[in-house]
Amino acid sequence: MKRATLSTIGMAGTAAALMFAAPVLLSAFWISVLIGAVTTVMLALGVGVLYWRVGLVSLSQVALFAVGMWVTMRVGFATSLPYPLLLVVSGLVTLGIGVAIGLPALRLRGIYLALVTLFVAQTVSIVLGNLQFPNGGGGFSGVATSISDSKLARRPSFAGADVAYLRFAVVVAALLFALVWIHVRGKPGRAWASIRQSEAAAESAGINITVYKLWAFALASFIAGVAGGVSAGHLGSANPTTYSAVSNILLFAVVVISGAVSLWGALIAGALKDVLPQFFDKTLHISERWSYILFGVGVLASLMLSTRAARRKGVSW
Amino acid sequence: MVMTGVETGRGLHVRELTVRFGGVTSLDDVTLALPSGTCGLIGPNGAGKTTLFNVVSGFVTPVAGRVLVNDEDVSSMSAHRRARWGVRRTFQTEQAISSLSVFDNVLTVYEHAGGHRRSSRDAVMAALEIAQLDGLASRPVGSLGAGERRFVEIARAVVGSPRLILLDEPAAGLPDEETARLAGVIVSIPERVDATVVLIDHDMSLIQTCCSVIAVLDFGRLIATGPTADVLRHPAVRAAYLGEAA
Amino acid sequence: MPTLTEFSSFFVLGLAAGAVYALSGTGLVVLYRTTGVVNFAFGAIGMVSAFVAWSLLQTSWCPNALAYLAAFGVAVAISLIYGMVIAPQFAQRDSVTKSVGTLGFALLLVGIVFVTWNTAEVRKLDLGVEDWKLDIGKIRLNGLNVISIVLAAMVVALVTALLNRTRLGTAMRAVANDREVAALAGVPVRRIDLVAWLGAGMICGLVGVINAALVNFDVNTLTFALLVPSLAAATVGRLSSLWVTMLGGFLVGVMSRVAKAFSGDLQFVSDYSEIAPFALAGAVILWLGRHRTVVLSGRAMR
Repeated sequence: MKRATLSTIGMAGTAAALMFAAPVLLSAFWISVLIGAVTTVMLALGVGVLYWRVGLVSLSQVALFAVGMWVTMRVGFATSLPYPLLLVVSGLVTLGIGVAIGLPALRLRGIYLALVTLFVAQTVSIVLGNLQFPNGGGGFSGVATSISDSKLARRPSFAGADVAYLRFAVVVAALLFALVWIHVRGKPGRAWASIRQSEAAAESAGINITVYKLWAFALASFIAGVAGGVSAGHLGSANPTTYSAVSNILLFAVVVISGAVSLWGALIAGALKDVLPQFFDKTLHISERWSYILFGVGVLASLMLSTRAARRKGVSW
Repeated sequence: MVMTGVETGRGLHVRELTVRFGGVTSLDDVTLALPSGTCGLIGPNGAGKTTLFNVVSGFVTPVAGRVLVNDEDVSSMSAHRRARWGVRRTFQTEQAISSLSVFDNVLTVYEHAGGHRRSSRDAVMAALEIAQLDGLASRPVGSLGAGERRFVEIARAVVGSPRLILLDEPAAGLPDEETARLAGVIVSIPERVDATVVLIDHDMSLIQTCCSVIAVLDFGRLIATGPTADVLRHPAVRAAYLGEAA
Repeated sequence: MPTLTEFSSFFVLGLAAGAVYALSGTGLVVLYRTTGVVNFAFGAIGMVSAFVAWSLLQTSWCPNALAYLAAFGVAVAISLIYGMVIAPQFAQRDSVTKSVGTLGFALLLVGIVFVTWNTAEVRKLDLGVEDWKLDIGKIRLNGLNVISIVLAAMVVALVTALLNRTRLGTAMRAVANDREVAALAGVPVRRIDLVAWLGAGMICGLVGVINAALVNFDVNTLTFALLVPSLAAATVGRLSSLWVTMLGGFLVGVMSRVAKAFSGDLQFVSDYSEIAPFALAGAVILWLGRHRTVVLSGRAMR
């Protein structure tokens, strides 16, 4: 259990660094980048659980993230619910969508889940493209017609400034990590490990595979919605083109590259996706378009490495 | 000499079981009674032994026939429901979960068989003790040798209150000392756990040591069943095995 | 409500788009059945060939025919490179992992295009056939529509004939049915895989250029506006039946284009028209998942 304790200490340390050291050391620009990275970390956490723990490919997590953003913004404008409650509402909405997608798709071969989630991603992209993100207007879509009427999404009363918001985001992320940790260490985690190794053996151990896959999918969907809600408060407004089908694939690629190193993979994913391109752009002055090549090669390399590693261990498929 | 056993009662009973895969009949109208205790299932490769296990454990649906365990008809239960109910099996390929510890491997089976959290630790340790894995509870299965991993699968099969345990070639690839140790473990199962054990293996000494009753399949048909020594002397059985290692 | 004539014109556009989806869907299904790979890089390969065609057409020294040939060749080459060099690395892994590889490849190709061409520039691919007009009754088809539909029908018929009437086709179907048994029977499985990648590349080449002429010429659209409806068509065909996939492709094309005919009160139908393919594919998936299947070593047994 020592490795787990070290890992927990490391996580706590990272969280503390983000909450207390970063605000002192970094500029406003980088604080904002970090908030974005924290939301990506949350998102990657969900995708990572699905892919690394259960072996499922979901290409709709960014789409659910965008839905979570939309819900938080819309309900945020329409009501005066406290911000944490908005996050829970968003999470529940995306959880519902996740269950609706998962119920039929998870009974079929794994490739169908990848296909269905890609379709969902495209559908959400089209719907949001028409609906646009809420900006304080009325009606269902909450989009104000004139610029003078449009507002930014609100933030929690206790976390208005960016530094405070970063701390808020880290706290939410920590809660989500804890939620995942409880799952992984308990009955669901063991069931997922069984399913990942061999579905036949899992069935013969009495595990209802569809139910546990659905559970993982529901968890990841909830997390995506909450993460989106946090991003809503951070950005204030959003453009649907940012959340296209491609963005889902990019996120998935980053999670594949970041690997399964316990829950650290999610942290690495956040760093890769949000911090690295900015670093390239601002410090090294390389266009962030090179990141596509990097991520593409990264995915292929990751897969090749894992194939070699498993072959050495003598795993047969 | 073909003896049909008792038609009802404890143990595994299959009736008129027929399985077809795209034109090939893997099991042909098999009716078989294996009483409680340890029973062997032997036959040449491709005779349908693993297919029979697959049907009994719910992984394959027969075109005809029924499966009864301890007088209960389990034919309509799905694989995982049967496992929860008490049908345990091992596979020819290793299925212990390498990323979990030995303890967690056994715990997984226990908690999905309806075991209660409060009694889980005792139940798991008892199963580990039967499988002679006492000191290895916290070791990750991935770090164990192939032989030890077979014993982990035995522990998974005996934990809690199983009713039927199907062991598919548990001794395959094991060196002699390990096979002897395995035999000892298998022999102890019916006393320690109130379950019927059915064993498929090609190692005849293991079969003879462990099984009081055996059934012989060939080309999907049951050709003999009865006390081990008698069946092994049967001319039809010897003919089926001509050329196979006995 | 749109008039019959209006519906008809959109219907024809739908057939042309559907032809492209049907063709791509067929390529996707054949490749999947043979190699177990769902080629998510399908659209990306077509996109690269479209850019190559465009660049060559801009030059003064390259005749049009050569430009199209080169584009076709590039698509085939890229597909073969993947099939010969990268796909074998994942040969023993499950279908999902193999397909994730093509996701990575798609990103790589998109990145290469971003870096090689100035993608901010607005481009249009003009095949020079849009001016031909064919009138059937009150419906007007332009040259491009006709070519897509005819080509799609021809290629699908060709592929079906190949699969059913030739020795190569029989070998491919054997591999698709059961890889291990085919290998045991002496079928050169690796070589059959390459044939599938070659075929897929050829379809990418055909489709890439036609699609580029039909839709907006930008990276995102070219890569995903083709890929996703084609995957929807393949899903309708349950990743196995070529004819149903083709039908699915045409259905998907027609549904999404005809919906665009609506305006006024029913404008929302037009706005959300592109969801049609996914609603169809989703319905198919709901239908497929209605039983409880039990999976044993990858083969489902009910």
